[in-house]
Amino acid sequence: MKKINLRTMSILVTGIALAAALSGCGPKNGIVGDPVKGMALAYSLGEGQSLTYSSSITTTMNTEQMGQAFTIDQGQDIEFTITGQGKDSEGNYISALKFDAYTQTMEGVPGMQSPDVSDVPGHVMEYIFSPQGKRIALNDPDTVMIDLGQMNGGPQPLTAMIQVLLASLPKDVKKIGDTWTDTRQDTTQRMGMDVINSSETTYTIETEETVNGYKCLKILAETTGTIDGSGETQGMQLTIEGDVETTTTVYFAYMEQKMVKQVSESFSESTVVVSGPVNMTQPVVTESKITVELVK
Amino acid sequence: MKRALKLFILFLFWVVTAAAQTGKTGFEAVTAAAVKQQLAYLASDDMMGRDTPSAELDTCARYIADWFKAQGLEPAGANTDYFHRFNLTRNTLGSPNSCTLQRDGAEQLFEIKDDFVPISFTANRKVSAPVVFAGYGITAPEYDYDDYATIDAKGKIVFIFTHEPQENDTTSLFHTTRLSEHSKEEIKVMNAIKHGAVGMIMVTDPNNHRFRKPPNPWPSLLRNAPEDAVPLSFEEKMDNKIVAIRIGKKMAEAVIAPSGRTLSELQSAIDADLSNHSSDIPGITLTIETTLNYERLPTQNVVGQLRGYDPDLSGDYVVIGAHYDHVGALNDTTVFNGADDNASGTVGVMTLAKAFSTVKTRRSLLFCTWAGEEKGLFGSRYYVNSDPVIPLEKTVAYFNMDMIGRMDSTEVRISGITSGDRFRDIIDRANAEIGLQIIERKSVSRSDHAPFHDRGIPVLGFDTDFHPDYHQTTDTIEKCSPEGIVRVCRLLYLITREVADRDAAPVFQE
Repeated sequence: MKKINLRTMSILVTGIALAAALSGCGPKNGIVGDPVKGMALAYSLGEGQSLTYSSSITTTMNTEQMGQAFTIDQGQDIEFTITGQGKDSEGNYISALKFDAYTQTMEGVPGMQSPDVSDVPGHVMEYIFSPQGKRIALNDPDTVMIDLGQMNGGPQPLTAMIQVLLASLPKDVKKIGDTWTDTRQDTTQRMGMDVINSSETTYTIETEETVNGYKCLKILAETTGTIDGSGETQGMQLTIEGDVETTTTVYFAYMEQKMVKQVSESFSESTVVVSGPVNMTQPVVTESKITVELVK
Repeated sequence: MKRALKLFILFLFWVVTAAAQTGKTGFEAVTAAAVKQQLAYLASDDMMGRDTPSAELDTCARYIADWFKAQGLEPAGANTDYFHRFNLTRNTLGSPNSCTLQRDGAEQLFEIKDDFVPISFTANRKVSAPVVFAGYGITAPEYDYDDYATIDAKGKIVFIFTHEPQENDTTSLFHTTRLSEHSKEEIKVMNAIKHGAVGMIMVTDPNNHRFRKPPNPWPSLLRNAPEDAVPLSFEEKMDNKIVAIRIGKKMAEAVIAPSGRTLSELQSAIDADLSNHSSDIPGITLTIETTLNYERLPTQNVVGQLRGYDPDLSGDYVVIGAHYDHVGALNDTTVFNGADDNASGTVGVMTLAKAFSTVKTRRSLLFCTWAGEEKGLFGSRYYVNSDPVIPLEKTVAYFNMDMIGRMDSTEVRISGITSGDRFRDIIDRANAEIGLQIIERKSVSRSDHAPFHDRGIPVLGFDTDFHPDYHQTTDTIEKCSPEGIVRVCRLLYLITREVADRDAAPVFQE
């Protein structure tokens, strides 16, 4: 029986594209006390304090196999609550991340089925993040697994499905109108591949804007980057090469020190090569939209 | 040499044991002992994972053909033996490949990879010609739609969109559950050839699909990929092949500019009411040269028939098939045996051939084992689309077995039940005798029944579900259940008998 490749690839490419999209999207430097003169931006989460967000990710992947086009749509809707539990010795916030609601859908290729995620709602894991929102760890000792089906890569840990939580903030003092550029290179592991995401991001603190009743700084991040990966899995050599463009807008309530909203749109063109028992070279175009919004 | 000797000994073993199986007829012939023996041969390490193409796959083909002969099956169609031969190719990017736009005495040179890529069945040729915009490059008389109706493409390079009109409009004539045949590159190239074009450039239709570069199918254009990591393809029989490339946004905008319209406007105009907006693009000439290296790879399906006894119905056929290839081996010690996928289905076909060899049916039966399924349903696609041994209009049903070797309990999965008007009743009657738990699959796209279904033939596909050993070296003989294979074969035997003997042929249902 056939067809593992297209679906497995959809999971692989979507994950890589999202990782690449998010790798450079959050402002990375900055801090001060007034948005006009300049201020330091940081999260604050007291012990017992809770923040509830709704998050939505939609991804459309267009690919071609033997001259025939396919479209695969994936979606993930999550409502989650982060509750402060104190700080670690390095000043990072330790929190309980509870999934209040969770759905995940996949459709497009005949036979593709949305996974059973009934174990996720109510599940709690540990989420450690820096004051600037950088994810330090996502620990799930109970290891909830989501079975994507044998055709889609099999059971995957829930932690691997959580692409985005809080946006990263600049470490340095910044003020409205500031623009700066940051280049970075991250290496991640996916399906036996070392994937290098190289990106250059131009950040702009555009303005102050009221969103959902909060006075927010609107921070724009525009990223262009490349994806390069190679490795081996299940006896197959995998290679991926592509380009990524991402635009992210973060609304950060600087007085309350919490993220109110984040919207990110990403576009990538890549080619995935599988060699070994199966030879395949497949162009893939992926478009993603991510929205994370404070509920309460 | 050592491997050849081992193959010979295995073959002798099979001949001797096959000769020892006598006396059982029809339903009784479907036994676990026979199944086990054939499974052991096809999924042995010596068969090296039955890659397409390979010497070991050819050995398996001979094994199956000899079995067909031993059961009294006849070759079918124009074949004098049981081999239904076809050629695959492995195409790699050669050199040179270039593309230049001439306009108002100036030349604009485009870059391979960022601006254009040859498609996998382009001609090795250089052309220089004017350009005509031809919509989606589709001629669909069934919808009274023809992008070529108002233009003369002869001697020109046609510039077309990918996909098809009104792709996201559920009320469109073109709308089905998936893109129609008209959207395929190959069909568009053949249509361009039919209209006398000397070249074709395709751009992604911009309103429904965001893009910047052309989609790249060539690993040699990447930095770290093995150059030969390209899929197999059919050896193209297209007469007068033309130069054909996919282009990116930069080149597409440069080519369409003299028309005074944008790609998006043109697509919107067509999609609004399926009206024709094809026209010459004035004042430009494109010079395109493409070069591919072709490696011809012959292989074969194995096909045999049992003729029906009813003079009124014996011209009609029920076709039973399974793919006999698998994904090969990495080396002598890392073999993907493919016992379940799909030595099990192959054994199913051989078993049913034996079962029916002593039981006459009104309609004729055709037994097929397909090559190249794992590489893209090549064997069954070639049969259906290029060289059906039995005319498709005489094919009343196709039954497929793919991975029927892992029946853990009593479950069997069947796809395509709704594709034939009375399949559900027929299956229920047959299963009343066998007692399996039938789980209905909705998809008919996963295996060799898909090409038959695509051509409007009622199909059923049988499997016993996926498992962690799928496409692993651990898909081995000892994990298969010969008894389970027998139960599936017995169910299919009864279904086939009813379909082959009843007065009315199944009627295809979408």
